[in-house]
Amino acid sequence: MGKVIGKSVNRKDGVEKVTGAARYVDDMKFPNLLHAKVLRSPYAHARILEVDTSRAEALPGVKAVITGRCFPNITGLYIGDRTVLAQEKVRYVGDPVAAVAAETPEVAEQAVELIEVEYEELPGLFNPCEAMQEDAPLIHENINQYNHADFIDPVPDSNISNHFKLRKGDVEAAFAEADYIFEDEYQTPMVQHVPIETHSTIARYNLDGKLKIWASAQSPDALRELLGVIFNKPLNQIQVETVPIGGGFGGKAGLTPETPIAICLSSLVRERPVKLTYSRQEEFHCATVRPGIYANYKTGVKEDGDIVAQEIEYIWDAGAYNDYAVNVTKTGGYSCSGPYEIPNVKADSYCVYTNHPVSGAYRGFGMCEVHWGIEQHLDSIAEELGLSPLEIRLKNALQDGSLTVTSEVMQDVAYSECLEVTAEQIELEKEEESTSPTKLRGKGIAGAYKGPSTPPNASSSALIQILADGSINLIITATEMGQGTYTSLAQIAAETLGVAIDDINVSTPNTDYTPHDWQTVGSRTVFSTGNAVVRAAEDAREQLFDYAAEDLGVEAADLDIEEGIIFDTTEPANEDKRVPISKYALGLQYADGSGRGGQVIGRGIYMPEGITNLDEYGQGKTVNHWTFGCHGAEVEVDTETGQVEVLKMTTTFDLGKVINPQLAEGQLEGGLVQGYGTAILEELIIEEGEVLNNSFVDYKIPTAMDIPEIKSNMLETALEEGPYGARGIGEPAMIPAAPAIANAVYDAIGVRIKELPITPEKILQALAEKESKG
Amino acid sequence: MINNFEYFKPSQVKDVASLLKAYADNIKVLAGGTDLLVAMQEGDLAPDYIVDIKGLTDIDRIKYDKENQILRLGAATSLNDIAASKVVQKHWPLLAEAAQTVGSYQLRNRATIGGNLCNSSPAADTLAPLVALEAEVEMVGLEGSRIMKVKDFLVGPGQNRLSTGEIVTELRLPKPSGAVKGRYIKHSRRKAVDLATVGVAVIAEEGDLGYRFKVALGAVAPTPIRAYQAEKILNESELNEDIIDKAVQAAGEAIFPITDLRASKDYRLKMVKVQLRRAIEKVIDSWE
Repeated sequence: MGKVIGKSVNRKDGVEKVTGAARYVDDMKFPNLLHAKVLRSPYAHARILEVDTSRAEALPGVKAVITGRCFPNITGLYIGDRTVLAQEKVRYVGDPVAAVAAETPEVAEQAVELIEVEYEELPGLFNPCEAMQEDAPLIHENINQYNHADFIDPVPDSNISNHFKLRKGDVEAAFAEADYIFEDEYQTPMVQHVPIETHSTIARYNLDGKLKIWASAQSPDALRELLGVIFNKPLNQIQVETVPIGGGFGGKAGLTPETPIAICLSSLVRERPVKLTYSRQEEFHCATVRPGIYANYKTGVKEDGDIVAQEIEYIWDAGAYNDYAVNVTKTGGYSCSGPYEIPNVKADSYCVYTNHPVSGAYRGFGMCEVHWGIEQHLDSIAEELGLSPLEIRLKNALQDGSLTVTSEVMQDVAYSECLEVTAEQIELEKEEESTSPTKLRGKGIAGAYKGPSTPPNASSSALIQILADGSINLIITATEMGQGTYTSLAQIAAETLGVAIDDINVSTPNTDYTPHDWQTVGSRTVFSTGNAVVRAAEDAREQLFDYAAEDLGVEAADLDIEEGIIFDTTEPANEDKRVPISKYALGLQYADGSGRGGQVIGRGIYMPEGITNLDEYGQGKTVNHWTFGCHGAEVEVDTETGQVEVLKMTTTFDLGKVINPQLAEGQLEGGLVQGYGTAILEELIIEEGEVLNNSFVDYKIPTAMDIPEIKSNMLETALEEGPYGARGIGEPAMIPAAPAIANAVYDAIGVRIKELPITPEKILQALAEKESKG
Repeated sequence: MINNFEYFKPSQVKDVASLLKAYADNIKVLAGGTDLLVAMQEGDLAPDYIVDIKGLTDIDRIKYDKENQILRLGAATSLNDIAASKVVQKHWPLLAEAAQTVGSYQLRNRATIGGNLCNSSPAADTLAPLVALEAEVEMVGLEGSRIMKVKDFLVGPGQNRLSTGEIVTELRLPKPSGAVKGRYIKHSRRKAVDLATVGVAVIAEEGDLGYRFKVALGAVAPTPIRAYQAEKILNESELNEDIIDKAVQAAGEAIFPITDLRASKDYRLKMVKVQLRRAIEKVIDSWE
C-alpha cells in the first residue's frame, strides 16, 4: 500500500456536498439573468411547415425567440446529424422546435405557448428492425451527406447510422463441427439515467463575441469543440466551466442540446446570461436515454462446453439522433461475445434511427445491453449440456494469452478469479430454503468486461502548480459528478509527489485555464487522467530536484520527497539536507538575492499507445485496457404475485489497484444498484413515440428500501499501463447486475425472462405458460 | 410553473366557507399541499385564490372523545402524526399502518388525512382503511355542518360529496367494542414511495359471536369499496381454507379494476385475490 493510495481519505468535495453548500448550475444567480424555455414537438415524425413566433415576441418580458432557421450548422460527436433546433423536420416527441428567453421563467413558459407551429405529420418508425429495412422511409434524408468519424459506417440511403461488422475465423466451418447449436433472442428497452440534477446550463454571449458557459456537462472540452463548429468560433473564444455536476452517468457527455440553445438565445441579447434547466419531465424524454437493443445469438458448442462459434446480430433502437449512439453500438459490436474466448465469431451491430427519444452514452456504454443476452444465453447452454453456470464460464473465460473477438491478445486477466470468488461467496451450488411455500429461491451469477470505449487517441492532461507555501494546485479538466474524481486524482498526485493529501487542491474545470481532457466518460478518468497526473507530478518532482540538487549539493537521483520534505536518500537523517518543497516552489534563490528558474509547474500528458482503429473485419487492438468482474445474486420469487425480491448480491471486480477503497466500494455498490433498477423496475414506456411514464410517479428507480444486502470484493491484478496499476471501474460495476438477477430468477422458477425489466406480470405470464406446457 | 395567486389563512371555519363560496371554482383549499401544489406546478390547476386551513383551531389534532367513544382526527393532521399516534396504533392499527405506507417520510410530514380524503383517489392508502373502519367525515359550510360515511362521501376518481363552500374539518372513527385486529397490504411496484397498485384493508373485531370481518379494497374500482359479500362469507361460516377461498372469489367479483401504467386489469384482479387471502390469514394469525 502506498502512503496515500489505497487509503479511504475523505472526499475533496465532501463538506460542500454534505452541507448543501455546493453550488450547482441552477443555483447560480446573476442580476441580469434570463430564463429559457423550449417549445418541443408533439409529434414523433413530422414536417415543419411554418413557425409563427410573432405573438411570443410581442409578450412583455420576452427578450429573445429563436427557431431552427436561425442556426443551421450541423454537428455531433461521432456523426454530425443534429442542429441546435429542428430545421425542416421533427424526429421525436420532444424535438426542440423553438425557444424563448424571458425575464422570468413564467413569462418564458407563457411565450412558448404562444408560438404557433404548423406540422404535416409523417408516419413514425418505432421499431429498429423495421426501420433498418431497405424500403423504410428515411428519418434523416441527408444521411449520405453527414460527416462522421472514420470508424463509423453509415449505410447510404438507409436509417442505419452505423453498421459495425466483425469477422473472426471461419464461422460456417466451426458451426459444421459443433456438437450443438443454440439460438436465442434478448431485448432491453430504452431507460433513463435519472441524475438527481437535471440538465442545466447558463450561457452568456459577450459583446466582443466570446462565449461563457457554465454547464452541468461531463465533457467541457468536447462541448467546447462541438460548440466551435456550431458557432464558427475559435476555441479560445469559448469558455466552458463545469461547476459540480449532480450525476451524469453518460447522459451529460458530448454535446447535449441545452447549451447551444441557451447560447443562441443569448446571442440575441448579448451580455445577458441565459439559463436553461430541464424540468424532470423534459429530463425523462428529451435528455439522452440508453438505446434499446434486439439481440440475436447463434452459438456452436462442443459437448464439453467449449464454445467454437458464435453469430450475433445486434439491432439498436437508437432514437432520433445518433451522434453519440453510433459509438455505443460499435463498442457493443467489438465486445459482442462478452469476456470469453471464441475462435470463430461473426457479428453485425446496427445502429438504427427511429422516432424515439435520442439515445447515447449510459453507464456501461452498450455493455449492459449486450451482456443481458450474453450472460443468460450462456446459462441456457450450460443447462442443456449439464454444466454449471460457473463451469461453462471458466471453460470459456478470457485469460492471459487468450484472443478476444477482435483478436487482441489478453494479459493480466483475472476474470476467472472474479467468477470463483463470487460463486464461492454466494454459495452458488447451495440451495436455500424459501421463507414461504409460495416463494421460490434461486441464485445466479453473471460476468462482464468493458474497456473505456474511447477513440484510440483520446488523451488527457494535467498541470501541477506548486505554490509559494508548498501547497499544490492540481489543474485538470476531468469533471466531478459524484464519482470521486477530485479525490482519487488528488491521491495519485499526492502519492507521486510525496506530499500529504491535504496539501492538494483540485481545480474546477474551466477551459480557459485547465488543460485538455477528451471527456469524463468510459471509466477512463483514473486510468487516463490518472496517468497524466502521475506524469505531471513526476515532472514537478524533477524540477524540484533540479533546484534541490544544486542547493543541497546532492545528486538529483539521490533525492526523494516524503510528507512534502525533500531529502537525501543516502543520508535521510541529515537535517541539513531536509528541505520543504516550498523552498523551491518559485525557483531557486541564491544568497545574494538573485535566483534561477521560476514556479514549479509540472506538466503531464497521456495518450494510450499501441491501439488503433479496427480493420474492416473488426479486428485489431482498439481498447487501451479491460476491466473484468462478476456479480452474484440471490433472489426469492413470489409465485403468486410475480414479485422478485433480491435478497443478496455479491460484486467482485478486478480493479488493478484500489486508489481509494471507500470510493471504489461506492462505485461497485452504486453500479450494482443502478443495474438492479434496470433489472427490476426501469423502462421508458413508449407508445407511438410518446413516453408515457415521464415522471417519478411511473418511472421508478430503486429506493434505499429496495436495495439488497451487498458484498463487494476488490481484486488487484495490476494493469501495466494503469497509474499504480489501476483500471477503470465506474461503469463495469453496473453491467452484470441485471443478467445475474435474471439467472437467479431462472434458477428459482425455471423460466427465463428475456426482455428487461423483470416485472411481476412477466413472471406470472411465464409461470402460466410453463404450467400450460406441463 | 405556478401562477400568482392570492393566499388566505383564516382562523375561523366560517371565513373559510365564505371564501370558498365567493370564489367557487377559482379557489382551492390548501392543507399539506402535496397534491395541490403538484397539480398547480404541472398546470392541471391554476386557481387565483388559495385558502390555507392550517390556521383553524384543532384542525391538526388527534383527540379521543371518551364520552362518545370516537376518535376525532382533524382534517389537517399529518399522516406521520397519525402513524405515530399511540391511540391510533392501539385501537385503529390498520389506519396507522396504512398512513405509514403513503409516499415518503418527508411527504408524510406534509400530507394530511383530510387532503388524502378530499383528493379522493381510488388508490389513496388511507381510504380503504377508513372505509373498512366505517369512518365518518364532518363537512362544514356556511349553512352548518353535516356528517357522512367516508364510503358515501367518495363518488369517483377525484370526486366526492363536498359542495361549493364546504370543507372537511374532521374524520371520526368509532371505537371498536372489542379487541380488533387489522391489516393493510399495499401492493406496489417498489417498497417505498409508490402508489398502490392494489390496496387491501381487512379488520376483524371481536364480539359476542367471535370475530367479525370488514374488508375494503383500494385501486380496483372508481372509489375504495367494501367487499360486503366477502365479509358475509367470512362472518357467517366457520373459517377454513375453503371459506377464505370463497370470500376471496367474492371480492374478485365485486371489483372493476382498470389497466394503466402501473398494472393491467388482469394483474390487479389476481393481486386483489392474492393479497386479500394473505391479509385475512395474517389477521387470523394475529388473534390465534
